[in-house]
Amino acid sequence: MAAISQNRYAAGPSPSGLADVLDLILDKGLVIDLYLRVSLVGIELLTVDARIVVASVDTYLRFAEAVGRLNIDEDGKEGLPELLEGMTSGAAKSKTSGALDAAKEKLDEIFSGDDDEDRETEERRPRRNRERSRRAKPKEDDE
Amino acid sequence: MISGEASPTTRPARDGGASSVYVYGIVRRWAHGIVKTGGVAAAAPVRMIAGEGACAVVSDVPAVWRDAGRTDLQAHDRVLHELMAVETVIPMRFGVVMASDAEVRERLLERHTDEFSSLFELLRDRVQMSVKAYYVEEALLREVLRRLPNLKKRSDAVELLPVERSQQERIALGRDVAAAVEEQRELDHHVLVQRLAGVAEDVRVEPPVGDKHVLNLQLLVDSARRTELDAIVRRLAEEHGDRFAFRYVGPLPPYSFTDFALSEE
Repeated sequence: MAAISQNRYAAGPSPSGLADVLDLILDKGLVIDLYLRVSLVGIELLTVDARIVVASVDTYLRFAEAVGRLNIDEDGKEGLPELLEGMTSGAAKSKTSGALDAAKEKLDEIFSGDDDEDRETEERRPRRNRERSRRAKPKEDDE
Repeated sequence: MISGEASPTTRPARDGGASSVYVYGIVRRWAHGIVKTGGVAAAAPVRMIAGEGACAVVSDVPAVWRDAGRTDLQAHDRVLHELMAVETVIPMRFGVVMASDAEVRERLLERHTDEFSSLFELLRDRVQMSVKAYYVEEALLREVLRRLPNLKKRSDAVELLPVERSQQERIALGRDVAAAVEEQRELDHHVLVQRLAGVAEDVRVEPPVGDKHVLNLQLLVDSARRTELDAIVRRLAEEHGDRFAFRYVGPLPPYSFTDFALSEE
């Protein structure tokens, strides 16, 4: 795993695919107060998704189940001591506002699925998206 | 596809209606041929509207344009990338449409000259780079259970009970695990940001998206210091490759650092 990462970064950053920049294109960049933004299919989806609460009982049960599944005995590796320092403060920024993020993730999923350029995004990422939308958002998924 | 001169067909009556002006971004100068590909709305020719010290890069879209989608998002980003390769660019968010060239000139270029010139200063010779990190498989949960072995004990105990009679225990356990996971994520996030942010002129910390996401950091970096950032990311990937998968991309149009609304005043 480490060797793969090493190789991958030896040459520097990758060019961006749509999945990398989707949130930036839709959410960042300059706007003018007055002007309407285009009514985009994805933007409508995002507002729908934003209403869905992610931290549901279902999610908790999933965590509990995951712990049950996990066998930690075979893994004697040390944790990183530096991570345990600074436990007290400073990291609060990473608090997520779950629902909106889930919505973005949904968008991500929509747009990343068949983008050639995005294929080299971590293998794990698409799977994560799919799992999440299946479990936390039973409503309008088309699976 | 290349444009710049006023082509007689730039104001087509698409859908039988009038057209509006889609704005990609602002550059100081615009040279003919700077953007080689088509824009949004079926690869409409990209052209520019010149103002005092700033030019708006635009293309025409139908006045009623309801079916924007994936290819339009890509076109928006691609046009900005092409601009970025030769000029300092202030990117607009996707979907800014104005009524006419005159409006672009008056309400955008003339009214906001000062904002644009300070943004050009801020962004000159700088690029946006993006670093995201994801937990590798179960790395996050493993870390949590290593730190809080009691959670694993509780889990083992609850596993022995029939599911229908231990629902409350399972929910309570899951809630505690979720809280511990969140705490771990914050710790990891903090460490990664500290390692990366030093090389940047400015950073934007975006909230993680999804269970396995630990970091979404946007950095505004001097072009001259790009290799330093490359080296830091490389070292992080070497040191933490067993726990995190990194996604390092760029250079990007500096969307994150032009993220505000121009007021109409």
